[in-house]
Order: sequence, then C-alpha cells, then structure tokens
Amino acid sequence: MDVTPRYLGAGSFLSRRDPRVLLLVPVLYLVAVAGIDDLRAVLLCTAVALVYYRAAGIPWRGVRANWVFMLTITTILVVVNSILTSAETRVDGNAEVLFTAPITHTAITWTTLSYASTILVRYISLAMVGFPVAFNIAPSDLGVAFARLGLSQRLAYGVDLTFRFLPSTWASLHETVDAQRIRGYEHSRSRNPVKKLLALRPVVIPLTVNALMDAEDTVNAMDLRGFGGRHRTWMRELAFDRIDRLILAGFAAMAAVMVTAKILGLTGTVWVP
Amino acid sequence: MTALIEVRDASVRYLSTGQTALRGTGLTVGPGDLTLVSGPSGCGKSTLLRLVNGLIPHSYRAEVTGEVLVGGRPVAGQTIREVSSVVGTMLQDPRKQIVGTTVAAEIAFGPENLGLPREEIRLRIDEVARRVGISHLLDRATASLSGGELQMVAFAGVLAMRPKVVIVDEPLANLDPAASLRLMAEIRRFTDEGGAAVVVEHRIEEILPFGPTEVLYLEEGAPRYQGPVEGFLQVAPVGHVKLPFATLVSRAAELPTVPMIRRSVPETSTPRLSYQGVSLGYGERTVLSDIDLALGSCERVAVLGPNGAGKSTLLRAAVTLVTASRGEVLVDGSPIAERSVLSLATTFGYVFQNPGQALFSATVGQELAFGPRNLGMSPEEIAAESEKALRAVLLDGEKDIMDRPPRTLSFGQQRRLTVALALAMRPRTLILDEPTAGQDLHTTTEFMGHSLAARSVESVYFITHDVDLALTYADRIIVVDQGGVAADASPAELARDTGIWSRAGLAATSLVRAVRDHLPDAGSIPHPFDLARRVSLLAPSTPSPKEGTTPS
Repeated sequence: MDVTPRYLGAGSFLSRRDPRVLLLVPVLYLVAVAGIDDLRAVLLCTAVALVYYRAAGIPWRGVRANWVFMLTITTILVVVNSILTSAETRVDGNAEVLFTAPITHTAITWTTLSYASTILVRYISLAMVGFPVAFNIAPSDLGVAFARLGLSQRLAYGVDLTFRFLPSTWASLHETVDAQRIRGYEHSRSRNPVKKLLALRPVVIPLTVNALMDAEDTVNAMDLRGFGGRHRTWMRELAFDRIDRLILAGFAAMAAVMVTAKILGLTGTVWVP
Repeated sequence: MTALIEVRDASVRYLSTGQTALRGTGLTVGPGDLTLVSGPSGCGKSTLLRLVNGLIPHSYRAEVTGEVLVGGRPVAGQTIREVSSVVGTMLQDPRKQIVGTTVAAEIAFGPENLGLPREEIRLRIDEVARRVGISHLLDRATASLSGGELQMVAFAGVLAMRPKVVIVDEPLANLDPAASLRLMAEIRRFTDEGGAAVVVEHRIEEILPFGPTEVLYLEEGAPRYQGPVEGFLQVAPVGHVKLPFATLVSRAAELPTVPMIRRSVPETSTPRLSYQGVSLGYGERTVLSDIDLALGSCERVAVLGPNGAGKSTLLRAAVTLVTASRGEVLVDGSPIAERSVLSLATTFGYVFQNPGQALFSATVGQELAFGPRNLGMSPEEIAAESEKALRAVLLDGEKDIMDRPPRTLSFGQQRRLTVALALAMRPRTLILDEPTAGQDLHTTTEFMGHSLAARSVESVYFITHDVDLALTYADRIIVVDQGGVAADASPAELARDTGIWSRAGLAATSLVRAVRDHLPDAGSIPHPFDLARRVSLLAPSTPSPKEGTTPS
C-alpha cells in the first residue's frame, strides 16, 4: 500500500489557490453548518460545498475508495445514533409514528428522518470541503501554509515532516511485521481487547523504539543545518490574490448569515415537510 | 593559515552514562585537507564528530576537557547554528537526514534556516544541484529516490549551506561500490577547491584512491595512530582494518591465522530453494523477472548487486515475504505455496539487516523463546535451544545474558543475537540480509565466522554489496542487476569476468585483482590473509612508509 500523500487535483481551479484558502474554507464552512437542524438550510450550504468540490477537479477514480469508506462510516453512525436509538433524535411527542425500528423499537417519525438526513448531508458536505485539503494542497506547501497562518515555525515544519516520514514509517512497520512473522508472529484472534493489545507488542515496541531513535538523529540533523532560529525564510511564497479573497469573503459571509439565522432561531428547528 | 578545526587534547565523558568516550584526542583540519578517521565500532569516532559539529556540548550532556575550536572560536561559545555555517555534517543514513518532501525543498532547507533571501536560495539550489549532478532530480519526491541518489541529495543539502568543512559519517556503509565512488569523488572535489573534509570510514581501501592527507585511528576512545596514510598502512591492526591487498602482502608475517571456512560439498540432492521462471515485485511494480535459479541445500551463496537491484526481494521469496507474480518458487522440491510462514521458519532462518526490527522483549531469554514458543516447543526444549543458539554465536559467556534487556547489548552483539533468534528455531538454511553493513573488519569476521560455523545449519545465503565479503565467504556468487540475474559463478570465475566489474554497480577491489592474478579460473578462494601469505612468498619487499605518530 502506498501511503505517500496524493496530490490529485493538480492544475484545477482550487489547486491554483493559495493553500491557506483551502485550510480556512473548511473552518468557515464548519462554523456555517454547525448546529443547524433545518434540512433546507443545510441543503443550501451543501449546494455551495458541491460547487467548491467540483472546482477541486479531484478525479473520481482516485477518491472512490475514500468516498465509499466515508459514506459507509457516516451512514452507520447516523442510522445508529439518529434512527435505531434515540441518542441524537429530536423526539416530538405528538408526531405521527411512521414505523417502529426493529430490535430497538424506536418510534420513527418524519422528524426523526428529517433530522437524520440533516446530519448525514452535513457530514457529506463537510467532506466535500475537506477533501481538497488532502488532495489539492501539495504536501510541500502544508508547512508554509500553517506557518503563514500563525503556527510556530517548529510546529509548521512538523506538519511537513509528518508527510515526509509517513512513507518511511509505513515501510518500517512492514519491515517489523515481516521480521516477526518469520518468527511465527500472528495477529491475535482473541476477543479480549487487553489480550489483543498485548499481542501487538512484538510490532509496536520495535516500531516505537526505532522511531524514537531515528527521530533523535533527525532532530540532530536539523539542528546541524541551523533549524530553530528566530527568522526562517520559506522558499514557497504565499500571497492571496483577488479570487482567493473573494472565495474567503464568500464563505465568511455564508458563515455570518447562517450564524445570524441560528441566533434568530430560523434554523434551529427540525424541518418537517 | 588558521585551522578550520582545531581539537587539542580533548576528552569527553557523557553525563548520562558516566562513560568516557574520548581521551586525549587532537585533530587539526585546514583548507584542502581530507582527513580519514577510522577505528573499530565504539572507538569514539561518533563522539569526535559530535565534538566538532557542536552537538557536544549543545545537544548531548557531556563533560569536555581540552580545547575545541571551529573557525578559530571555541565551540562551546558558539550556537550549533553558528558552527553549522563552518562545519556541514552528513549522517551515515541519509534517510534520517533528509527532511524535505522534494529534492529542491531538501536542498533549500539549510539556507531557509539561515534566513537567506529567496533569490539567493534559488541560486544555491541550482548551483549545488549542477555541481553534484542532480539537477534532473530537483522536482522528484525524496521518498522515491534510490540509496545512491539520497546520499547525493544529502550532500547537496550540506553544500548549500556553504560550509568550509564537511564531516561525513561512514559514507560507504549503505552504498554499492559505484555510488560510493561517485560520492567520494565529489568530496575530493570539494577539498580540491579549498574546502576540507573529515571522513569517518571502516572501508579504508575505498578511501585511499582519493588521497586522504591524514589518518586518525582511534581505539577505545584514544588515538592509536595519527599521520600520513603510508605510515598508517604499516601500523594498522591487520585483523581490525580492511587494508588493500598489497598491504596485506607486505605485512604477511603479521597476519593472524584465520579459522578454516567450511566449504560446501558437491551435492546431487534436491535444491533447497529453486526459482522457475519467477517474477517478483511489490503491487504492480515488478523488481525481478524470469528468474531461473537453484540454490543448493549445502551451499554458501552470496547475492551481490547495486542498491535497489532486488537482492533482498529475491531471498524474501524464500519465506513468502514476497510472493511470485509469475512462475513458481520451490522449497526442497515442493511448491512454496503449500508451506506456511511458520513451517518455512524451520527451513530458513532469515536475519534482517537491522536487529532493532526484531527486538521487543524485556530480556534476552524471553526474546529467544518467542520463536520456539510459536513453533509449539516445550519449555525444556526452548531452554535447551536458547542455550545452544547463544553458544553458537558466542554470547553465552556474557554475564547474566539471559536476564539482560536485548537493547542494552552493543550493536555487534545485537546482530549476533538476531542470528541466535533464528537458530533457536532450528533452521537448516540461514539467510543474512546485509549482514555486515557499517561494521568494522573484526566484527564482520566474528559475525560471519559464527554464522557460517553454526553446526545445525547446512547452508548460508547472504545479501551484500561488499564485494570482498562475497569473495571471501561464498562458494557461489549471484549478481542481481536490472531486473534479473547478471552473473552466477564461483568467486574465482567472477573475479575473472572483467565485464561484470564495469557494470552492475560493482567495482573491482584489490582482492578481485589479486584473485584474478594469482588463483586458478574456478572455485572458492582462500581467506584474503591466506592468499596474501601465499603471494608474499613471490612478491618483492615494499619501500618504507612515511612516519606518523603512534602513541604508546
């Protein structure tokens, strides 16, 4: 399995944007949709998210597996939390019961279904604005983008390093598993989670110890090349252009409108057709 | 002229362990110097490097006596950042040094940290990339580079900071001979143009053609020799340093006797491991294709080839860590697919290059028991096999060895322990992956001696890029290159195949030339010491060397 970060949207409208735009948009979008219970308002925001996602130009074939995984997990969560149990459901005592959920015997109403749909659509739309962060920012741009957003130089470069060492850590994990497999190591089939965890020791301990030892060498190597000084030049120059500002202004406006609507109580009720 | 590095009577004691790692050491490096620092593992080489690049005292807590000046100023009075503008450091493993996601980003890292203007950084990237011949790699992801390319990129990253001295820690340990030559040529060019270099290396023979101006040989933390190369060649401990064959001949009388290497007997039985039209790779990437080979059940086979050629891939197929995408792999005549990994573990004991990949238990005893327990051995059998395995690798004499945490053993002992871990599972064939990379000659000789002498083991297959190791210890050498088997011959036959030494990432060593000149066309070769003794009876005496200082 290749764990090298994938830069899939090269050349697209969003890839030409300052990477800070791609990092800020999901934050503004989250502010906009958080706490909205009205499906119509969420669908409106989702339309904007869809346009944004289309502008990312991420090929479907490249992310099909990611979408299938995301949709499966999200659907299970929503069905379990909002339909099968009443954990997240806004129960309306007077609403007409459409049917009763098997096993849990939860009463399902239009309110339940509308609320579940709102949650599901909200998660999907968040994924739409989140995917460009993973696939439209060149891995080498992430560190500088975070640094220019005010993160400390060390933390920002830490983000870069994470992507740099992801493939080698993955390779090291494989190597360790191989080294133990030929000594008869197998994944534990026990159902006991403690036993399962203990059975991972032959892989986790060497991997962790080696990673710590390697990290010491890497930190030394970075110090020896002058890392950690007060002033650092980032080779990648970042500057917002007019389009970047317009995109940010648009999402900021959307967030402001939705927050205001929420405060005024316009989107806080589950919409029932 | 002011020395770039001046170390006077320096001693270092680490505060964390209380151990004195360096005593009474001096070193002067000026423009144009190429200083070779050598010595057995644990002799204080790394401590000396840390002393001159500022990691001691800035990163490692240590008590330092004597004087250490870099650029004419005491190291202790400078920050590491200031020292790094004079001294550039290359680590042994470039994978730990390279932090940029692309080659251009990697070269830019140092100048970025110095806060240089972008235009200046761009100029430096282009300049050093052109200089070391990696301009075509600038946009490549560093994760996709080969070992040789990584080393050159790491060197470019150091040069981009325009240091006056580069210190290079074991540059040849992980490189095939051709890549080693390229890197050393660049280091030499750097010193010829007014820079200076301090190279730490065991493989002295490979450094000699680049004309080191001085050799500092350390033993147990103290200098044992300091002076010109010629003098060093006359006093270097022959059993501990890999010296050119001509030197072995001239010092034949001092060569220690070496234990007989048990040679394989001609066999007619079913091969232990055979490949029939096999293609091997990872996912969609094919590394080796159409391999037809049969490795005997009583053979010593070396697999030689450049970095990334597929040496490990070939032998990992023996324990199904890699499966054939085409063709069939047979073990003792049966398809490997019919065997489980565990059952293969009793046929092949695979020893990985890095012992740290396997060690996880609290004690050596528990570590040794892990494999046999998985095989279903009784506690009595496990205890017996563990003792036998430790005896085979001569670790049984270590005090309280069974109760010691494995990681407190020295690196050489850890390597021997990993052989013991394999032996405890009663394999009939040992497979050693790069068994001696970065090890001094003494450790190499000990390790190979123990591995080859294990009584229960019928055959040993080992992967290496060390030509002399293959010639010395194998009955048969398989050269892997460009997706296939480039040569399959006895050591003597291979030495005579002049074509192979100009390709396949190989370089003819002085031992190769000696074998070619003094031995018959086929078969195994004697140990280099025995061959040198034989040749010395025919060779004229050599002139006296220049003198160095040899502390008593």
